[in-house]
Amino acid sequence: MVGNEQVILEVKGLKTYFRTSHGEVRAVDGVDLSLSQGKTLGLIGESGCGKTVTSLSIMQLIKSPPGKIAGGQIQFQGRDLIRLSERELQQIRGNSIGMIFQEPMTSLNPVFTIGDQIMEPLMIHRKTSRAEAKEFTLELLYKVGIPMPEMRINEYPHQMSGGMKQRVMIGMAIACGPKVLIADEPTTALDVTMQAQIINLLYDLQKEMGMSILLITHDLGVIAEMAHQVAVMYASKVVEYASVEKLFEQPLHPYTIGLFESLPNLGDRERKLQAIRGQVPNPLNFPTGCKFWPRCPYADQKCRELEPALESIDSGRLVACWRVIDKSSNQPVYNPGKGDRERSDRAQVAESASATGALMEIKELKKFFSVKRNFWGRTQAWLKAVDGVSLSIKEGETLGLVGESGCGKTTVGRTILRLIDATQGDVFFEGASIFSLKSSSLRRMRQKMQIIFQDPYSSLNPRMTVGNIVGEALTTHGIAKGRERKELVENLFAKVGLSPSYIKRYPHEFSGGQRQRIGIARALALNPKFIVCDEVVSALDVSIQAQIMNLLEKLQEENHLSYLFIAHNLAVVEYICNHIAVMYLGQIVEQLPARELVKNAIHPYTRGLLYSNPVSNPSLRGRAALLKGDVPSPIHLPPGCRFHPRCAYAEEKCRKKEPELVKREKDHWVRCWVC
Amino acid sequence: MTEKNIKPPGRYSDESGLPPQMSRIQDFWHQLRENTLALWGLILLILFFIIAIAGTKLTLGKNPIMDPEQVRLVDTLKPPLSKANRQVLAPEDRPLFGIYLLGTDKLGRDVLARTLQGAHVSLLVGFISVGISVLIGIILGALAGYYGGYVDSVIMRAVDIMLCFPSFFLILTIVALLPASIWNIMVVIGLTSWPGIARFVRAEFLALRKQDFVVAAEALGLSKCKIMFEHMVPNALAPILVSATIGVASAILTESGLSFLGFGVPPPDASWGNILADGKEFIFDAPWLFIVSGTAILLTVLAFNLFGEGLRDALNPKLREQ
Repeated sequence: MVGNEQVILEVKGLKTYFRTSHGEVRAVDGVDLSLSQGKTLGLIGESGCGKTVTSLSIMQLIKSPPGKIAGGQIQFQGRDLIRLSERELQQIRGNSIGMIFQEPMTSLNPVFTIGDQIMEPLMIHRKTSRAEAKEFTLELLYKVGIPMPEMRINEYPHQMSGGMKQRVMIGMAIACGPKVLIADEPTTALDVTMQAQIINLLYDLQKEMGMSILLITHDLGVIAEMAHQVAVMYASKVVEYASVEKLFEQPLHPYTIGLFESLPNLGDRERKLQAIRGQVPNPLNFPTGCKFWPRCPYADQKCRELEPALESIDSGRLVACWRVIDKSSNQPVYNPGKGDRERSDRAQVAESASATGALMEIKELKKFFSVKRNFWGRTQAWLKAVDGVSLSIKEGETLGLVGESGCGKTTVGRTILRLIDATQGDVFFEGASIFSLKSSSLRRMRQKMQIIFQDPYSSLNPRMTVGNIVGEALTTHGIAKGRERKELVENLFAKVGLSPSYIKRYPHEFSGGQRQRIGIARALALNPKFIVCDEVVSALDVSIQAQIMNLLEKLQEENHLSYLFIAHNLAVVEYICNHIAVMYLGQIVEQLPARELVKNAIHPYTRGLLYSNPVSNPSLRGRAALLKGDVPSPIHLPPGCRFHPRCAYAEEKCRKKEPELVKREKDHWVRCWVC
Repeated sequence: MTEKNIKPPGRYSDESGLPPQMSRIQDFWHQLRENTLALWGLILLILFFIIAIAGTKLTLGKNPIMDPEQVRLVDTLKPPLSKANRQVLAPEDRPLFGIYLLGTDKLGRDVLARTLQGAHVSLLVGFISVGISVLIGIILGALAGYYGGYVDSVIMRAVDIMLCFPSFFLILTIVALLPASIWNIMVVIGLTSWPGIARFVRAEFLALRKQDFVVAAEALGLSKCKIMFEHMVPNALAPILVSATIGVASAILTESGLSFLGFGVPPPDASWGNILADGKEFIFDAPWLFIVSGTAILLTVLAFNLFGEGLRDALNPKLREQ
């Protein structure tokens, strides 16, 4: 908040409360922020900390009732936005302050062409004619990197990919040349490659137009790539404020430290993740004193009784923590080296165990979906979701499957469990072919193979108690009944870190992380040998993500489990897996041991993914994204190498002939002509 | 770290604890209370149930307290609140308290007793026929939505065919061919009104089929029957319940219509429809005949509809968040 740049937007003591049937929720409780001209302020924190409410309050978009702004000021261009009339606000929204949302799928109106949607604010705010607006829109679309804008301007939102829609959203937000752009999780719903492209785009636009950006995110990598100043929010308040360099060099608040320690970094898989225990408190039930103390390893008596305010530590750094303010002997320390030995030992154990034979063998697996039929019901076009995938998973091993969305990862996971029928190929589990099993023996086999899902909300039946959800299969397979079953379920709950006293409750009463634990308990109930983990941590906050990953590792050790770990986050996969298979458009393009991923991966696609992954190091920002464009539709596959349209190294041969998956070194397979 | 942690790390991830459990019924009641009209619907329904049950007790049996079939030729078409003819009528033939509270019809039968008996008929018809149609609708809709493909095509074409017929005339035709009895009417109404429910269930199943908890149930090796009827049906119940409530109203209406046309409950049993039909000849001379039965039908149907709509709001999680 100190700085010689001109401050363009200043929030002082903002308080936004919501009235609910259970009491008053203080979603934002005294937040100060200041955004400088041409700079980016990152607002980071887990979900439920009040980041989005802060941004909506700035735009005066809080619905009242139930919400109301209970206090504070929002100074913008010499005016307090809180005191403006609705009419004056309309002049500012979309004109001097633009906004982009997280979900590009629902932020665009599906019944208007994107051209009409961009032109609308122009004609309202700038009073331009239709022709002028159209010309300007074409220019904008070009600026936000949409190829062939003349064609695209007449398209409807459903004809575009998620990344394209987000570009359109950015185009709409910057159409009137705003002074301030509020970006609320602009890349969270996108793949890493698209995320890197969008970050680069925002970065370039900022330089070109001199905009200030308020960037809201839960991803430290995105902050490192874009922000100049960072405010860390926890439980409705800002707990730490610093420049991005200082924050990444030495975080001070225990919460910030916890965020750093729970985040896996590429090339750093030996470090054990230190998860913050517990979860963000419910705003109806905040603890007294410092709101972080129940989760803080450093908390003492004072922290429990008195709430610390933000205090200046050194130039431009503010922290709300008694331990730091009082310069106590037991100051929170950020020690990234903690726990090394333990972790590398574990990795070795797993790797030596994997010397035994394969537990699961996938051979030339193919799954085609028919997408177009003629009048007689004959298929005219196929969607080749999985096209010849061979993998083998050893006992006690974790195999990672990575790739952008739409590459067929999930289809592989479901096909090998026979939740979807395969088109061709075979899967052997402990030597027996799964695809030739009859339904009764398949049902018996299912005890040994389980699945955990991405979405902790749709994966639990909302009408059953969690105890029944976990224990149901025990009854079905005749393993345990009544009292015995109850005991087993309680043990499972304890094993995944949930209190056994909750077995009578319903799923909606639990948080996302807790639901994910219930999903894990359900998968473990039958004592399986193999579990498909389908994006199990993608929907979770950083600290919860680390908790779940540590839990999965612990369970693997205790129960000698093998995992097929499907994810799109390379850092997560590198951390938890022994081997990694990279998938692109239904095929494996590279397969290698996890510890070699950063150093030895050679396929241009793998390298592209590695480059796109945001790095938690602000000094490395501004690298050009290597991967251009989107994943092509798996219905119209490119001829030759499937990756060639996006590949910087593509040659004549790549366009004509499809490469085979070739062994390069021990355990290292690559499908590429040039590398 | 020099000092030990002051608070030992908790054993469980949920050490902060969950808020106290609020039961589904509490939650549901909370939602329903907000909707004044639905509440009125519910009150009327409870009243209707009490009347129907009391009516059965009072009017059935060999020597009922109020006899709906007692013909009194001296007291025909008496207006409401008129006294019974004490000179001619034997004490056991007189109405309760010697007063015709709602008047008499052309045969001197007590309209109050007949209306009470009719309430019981309407209730029976409403619930049994809707029970039949819900059962058929759930089973066929579940099969169609779960299996898809040919099963879905066959069932949905059957639904389309059923919907092609104007259902009232279909019922009329069937009832005309069958011997007149209240049970036949219930079965026929039930057998002709399931397509709507089957469609609802199918639509819900198509959406539920993609949910991860259904895939998880399959991965656990549960049987298809268990997945469909234990996991998916409870989640599809909200729209079924709503359409069933409104279905009860329309079944009552259909039965009244049939009785009015003379195809319904055979005499001497009373139903609101045939009281209405009897009243139409004396519409100017004895208006209480159609006013009483017509109002009864109107209020009951209205109550079911209001309550059904309130139920829909209370059970809809999307509306609940607001």
